[in-house]
Amino acid sequence: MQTSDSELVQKCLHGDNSAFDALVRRYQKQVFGLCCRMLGDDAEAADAAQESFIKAYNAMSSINKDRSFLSWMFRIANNCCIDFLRKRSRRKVVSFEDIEGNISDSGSTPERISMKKETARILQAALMHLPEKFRAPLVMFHFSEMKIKEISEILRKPEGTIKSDLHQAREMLRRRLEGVVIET
Amino acid sequence: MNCTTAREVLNSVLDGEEHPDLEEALNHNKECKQCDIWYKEMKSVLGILESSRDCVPEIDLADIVNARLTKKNPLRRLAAVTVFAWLAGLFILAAVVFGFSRSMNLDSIIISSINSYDFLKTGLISILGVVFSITRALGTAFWEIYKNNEFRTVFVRFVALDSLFLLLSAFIWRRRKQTSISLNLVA
Repeated sequence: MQTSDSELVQKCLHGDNSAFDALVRRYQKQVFGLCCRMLGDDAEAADAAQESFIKAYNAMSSINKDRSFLSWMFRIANNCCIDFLRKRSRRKVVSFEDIEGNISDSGSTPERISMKKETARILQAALMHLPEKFRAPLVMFHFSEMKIKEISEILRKPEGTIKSDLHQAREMLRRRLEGVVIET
Repeated sequence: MNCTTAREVLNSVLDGEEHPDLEEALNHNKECKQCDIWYKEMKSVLGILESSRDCVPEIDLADIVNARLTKKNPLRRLAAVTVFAWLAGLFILAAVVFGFSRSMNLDSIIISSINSYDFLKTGLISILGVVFSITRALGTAFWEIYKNNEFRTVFVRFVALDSLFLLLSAFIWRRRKQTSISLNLVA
């Protein structure tokens, strides 16, 4: 039977580093996925995800027992991504047209993989044009499959605001993807 | 049903919710071509989002994170902060000894004028100074480790505390010098 998150957190608080290792392995895909969608750059996303886990480890004693570890982790990761975006805006302007993901997709034909890659690339470019406050709920809802209530807890906004932001984000995305939408 | 309400209802449905007015909204779409196109496009957007859900590169962060955490091992941190605290403590100790030796006129030419009582007092103060410095340095180091603050905080705290301590030393030294002058005048 798989050890629960709260048990692993407790072990971690008692100095068991292997427990934290297990938590990282359990949630690295979700956290990295969130960072990828938020930042649109794999290398930066990997850095942000690492930073998020380090921050989580250092702040482990402050975790609320009633709250899920993943929600808490997502909050840290989201804040980390915002920091990265701020640093980026001071440092350079990334050309989102050059975003090329090393997407793993087994069991599909080369044409399908290529098409999927292309769609993902266009989608990521469109996502990067969304304002940060709209991107976060959209990514959490559609990619991380979180519920509105969970997102409102992570982003500390009322559920109504999250819904409204989500609808606006989808609307912006629809306008950006207009050509692609017609083709599909 | 007007377009705004219909789109609100359909948006809720796109959120995965069940809406009692869904039928009415769909009937509105049959009459309103714009809303119908909008809903179809929205569903396509959702389809694109769904199909791209798994398009994230594979990554293994566990080893990297573990390596970074080992680098930030609390024991190493403790050692680093303690060494720093000791060095800062030694600096303060030197300042205290210097201040009190000045106050006792140890560096003056008339060594014979220093009586045994002053010597004892200077010795006691120096020992107290050493104990104070070491205790404070270790205390601060352990506290910082416990609180998990940045190294910079330790430094700032040391500078603030030591500045206060130096000011106190200078004040005592000045007071003693004034008393000594007054005594000389009386003599």
